[in-house]
Amino acid sequence: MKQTINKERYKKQLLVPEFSEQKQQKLQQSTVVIIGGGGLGSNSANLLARTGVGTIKIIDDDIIELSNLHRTSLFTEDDIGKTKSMILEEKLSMINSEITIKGINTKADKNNIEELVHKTDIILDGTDNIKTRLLINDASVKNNIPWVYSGVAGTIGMTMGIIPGKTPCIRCISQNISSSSNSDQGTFSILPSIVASIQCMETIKILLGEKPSGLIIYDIWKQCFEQMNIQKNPACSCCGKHSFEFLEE
Amino acid sequence: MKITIKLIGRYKDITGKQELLFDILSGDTLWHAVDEFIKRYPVFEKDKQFMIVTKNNMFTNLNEKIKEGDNLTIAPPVVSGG
Ligand SMILES: [Zn+2]
Repeated sequence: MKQTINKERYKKQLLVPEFSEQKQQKLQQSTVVIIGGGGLGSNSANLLARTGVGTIKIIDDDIIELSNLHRTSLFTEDDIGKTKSMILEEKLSMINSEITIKGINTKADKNNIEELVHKTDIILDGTDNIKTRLLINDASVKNNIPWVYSGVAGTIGMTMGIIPGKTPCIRCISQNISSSSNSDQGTFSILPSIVASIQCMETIKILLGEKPSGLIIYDIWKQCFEQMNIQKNPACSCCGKHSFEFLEE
Repeated sequence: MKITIKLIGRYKDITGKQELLFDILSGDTLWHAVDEFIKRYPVFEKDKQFMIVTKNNMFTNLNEKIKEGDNLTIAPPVVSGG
């Protein structure tokens, strides 16, 4: 892992009062795993690579299709038919050669997820289905690794930074979660990049030891932004009772 | 007794209301509040099982009873596209 930071590369963000050279160094020493390299995941990988997160692993076994181009980052028409994780590794390495980018051409499932997130500082949700999110939630709480949930549907995006033992987990906020992927509503092109930006900010705050901002709900069409500060639910089957049914099913 | 439910996201946008006032009888559960909301706004029926309902800022089993002074919030379901 490269330890020194290039001050010229980051000089504009080093001027931000909330940020500092020490915090840039902390990001350089951090490892993130992004599960999913589509609308959310490709945008988040792009932002975190440019911000200077030291090691970024992107897990996805999908190939790039024409219908992905409207809402993803970095992919071009020439990339259609190629593997998302490998193209992201190739292009992000050209954007920031001072960090480590690794594309992992596999699908996260209950058999490999704990190994995939081993020794990572945080997990980012770039998935497109609730089942994988519940699996990430179980792996996060069981292994005490923070994760940042994000989802999009239609014109609505949601994000919630989750720190096991400190904040609610995804199962604290809903007793039932619809298994529908909301695909009937589609996704407006600009939405994933905005939600990915919010997700990356929550990720950076958690990496720097700051508190995430609860459940954030954003409507791109109405330009409405809301936050809900929900408390941990002691009766939650995952973070309250430590039952990890999605890892075990 | 009367109880106020704060609405979040598109529930607020579509109803045009920040909060709703309901009549609640002693012993009524959170399900009653959800049912009353859907009775007034049937357009949200498909969300019924998946809404994020909190009582005093905590997600609670919907079979729990509501007491005077409880602070209730209803938000749309978690979204899961990518
Ligand atoms: Zn929980």
